[in-house]
Amino acid sequence: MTKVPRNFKLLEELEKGEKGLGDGTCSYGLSNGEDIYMSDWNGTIIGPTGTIHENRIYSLKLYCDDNYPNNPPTVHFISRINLPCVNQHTGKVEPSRLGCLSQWKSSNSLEDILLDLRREMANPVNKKLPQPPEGSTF
Amino acid sequence: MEESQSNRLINVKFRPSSGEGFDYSFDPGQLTVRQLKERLTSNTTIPADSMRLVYSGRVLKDEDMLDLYGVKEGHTIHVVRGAANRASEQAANVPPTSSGQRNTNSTTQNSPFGMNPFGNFDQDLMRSMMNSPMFRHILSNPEIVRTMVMQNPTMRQMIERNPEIGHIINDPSFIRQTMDMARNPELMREMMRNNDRALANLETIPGGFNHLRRMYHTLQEPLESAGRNNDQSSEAANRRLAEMLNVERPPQGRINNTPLPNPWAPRNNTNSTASLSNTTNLFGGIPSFGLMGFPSAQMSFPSPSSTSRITNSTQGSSQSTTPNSQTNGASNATTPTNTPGNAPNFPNINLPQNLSMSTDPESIRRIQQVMQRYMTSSQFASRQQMPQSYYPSLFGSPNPFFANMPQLLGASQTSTQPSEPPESRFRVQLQRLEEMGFMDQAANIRALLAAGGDVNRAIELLLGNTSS
Repeated sequence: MTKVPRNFKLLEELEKGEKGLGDGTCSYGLSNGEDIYMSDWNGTIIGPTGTIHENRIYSLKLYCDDNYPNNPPTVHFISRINLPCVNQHTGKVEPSRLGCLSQWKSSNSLEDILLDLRREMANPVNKKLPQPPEGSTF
Repeated sequence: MEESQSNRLINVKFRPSSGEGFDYSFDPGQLTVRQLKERLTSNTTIPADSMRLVYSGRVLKDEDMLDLYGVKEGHTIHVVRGAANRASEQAANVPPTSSGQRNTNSTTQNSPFGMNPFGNFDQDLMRSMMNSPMFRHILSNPEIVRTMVMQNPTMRQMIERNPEIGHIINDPSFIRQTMDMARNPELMREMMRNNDRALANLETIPGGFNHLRRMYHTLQEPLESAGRNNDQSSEAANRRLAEMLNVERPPQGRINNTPLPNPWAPRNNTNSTASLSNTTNLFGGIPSFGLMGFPSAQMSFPSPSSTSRITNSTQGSSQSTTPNSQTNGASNATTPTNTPGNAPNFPNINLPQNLSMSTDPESIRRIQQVMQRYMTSSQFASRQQMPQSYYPSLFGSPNPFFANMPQLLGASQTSTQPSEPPESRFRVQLQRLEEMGFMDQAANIRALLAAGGDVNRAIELLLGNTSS
């Protein structure tokens, strides 16, 4: 597989995020538009319908280090959420507990992470988990 | 688009989580998020209060100026329906409003399918009925209305099976709202017309059909199956729908690429009268609808079956000249052969006559005449184009039907009806697919939906899809 340099990949993802080319359930973009290293990202996940997360929008922080995409980004929830893969004290998504982070491939994208998290929310095991009040943050 | 004073207009795509996106131009330096939301309400079905705008991984805050977020030409802002703001949430919780809205929805929900049984009911008759002092007295007492409804065994059974419907009946303000609607036929007619129009518009935009289909699944189907015994399988409902629309299964292993039929297209002579009355039963003859929209009508004809028989025959005789074989009952024997214009003026009726009407063939005949006459005139009226600007005038909000969607959606989701999203409905199948290495969940769901939940067929579809 060809190796895509970090910044090319991130630029591509940035464009995809800004133009909203995904399926519309997740959104992401740079937290600081002037950040030429494109390390800090914001993400939102729109709660899947039919779950307790419906009508909620979850905000996340994603950090891509210098070795992205070889290393997965670190992901934190800003909005409080009760999910098994999320550390309840820090909001950090435990890489070992989220499929796409534990088996990270350099072809994965930030959107893949958000979509995987959304899938976790819709997972029948999790979709009825009691959730902290909307608007609370870690 | 009209802001001529601004010099920094950018065109931004807006993408609702459901339905088709749209473009809107604005000057980010001149507009707060809140103002933008208010402008967008004409483009979406989401009221500004529960609208959330998401851009670049951030939820836009009402009070911020838009340029703070660095939105640029050609970018996309996601439009999401969130929970309403605190203040408006409280307003929505006031019982009369919410129940009234539910009432509106269920009434109008029939009309998109063109077969509202009571929508064709003579409005004058209804009004005179509703205005008769005795009726008024009875209806002003919700307790009596409730008892009347509960005395009907069909209704009672249904309510026992579906507690959420029982809840509606127990809500006195709901009943009162319904009465008001029935008393003011103008209001009711306008409402239904508006919604018909809105739905027609929806259908013409690309992707609109899918949206309508979703609406059917989340709203119509649960209500419909409420009127049936233990009929909860979506398989069966799908089959019924397919049957009704004369759709055939796509050949094995193929994605269906024939255009979907238009369920609102006029049913021509290719469809026999049998299927015509069949559809009426599917959509219209359901007791729950009669109840939700027009309890009064339901009560003036104590037996729901007789009501639907009458509607059947009217539908049949007005849409085709062939005799309706399904209505060979007492009503058909008296189906009038004279033209609608010959129908006598229907006199004001008072209560006792009213209640005995369903058993009296003479009155059935007269009702039919009146209904027929009404139908011809209303069909003509509804063909006339309604200008867009027509909507807001009556109800204040751009479109009451869509504005009220969340309440109804919420209501149907808390119920036990099969409104589950495919993610959870096909949980087992999805798991199996994922175990087999089909990792694209969206594609899996699509394939499962197309295959009606059959894993093997879904795999075939998935494989056929990737290889082609």
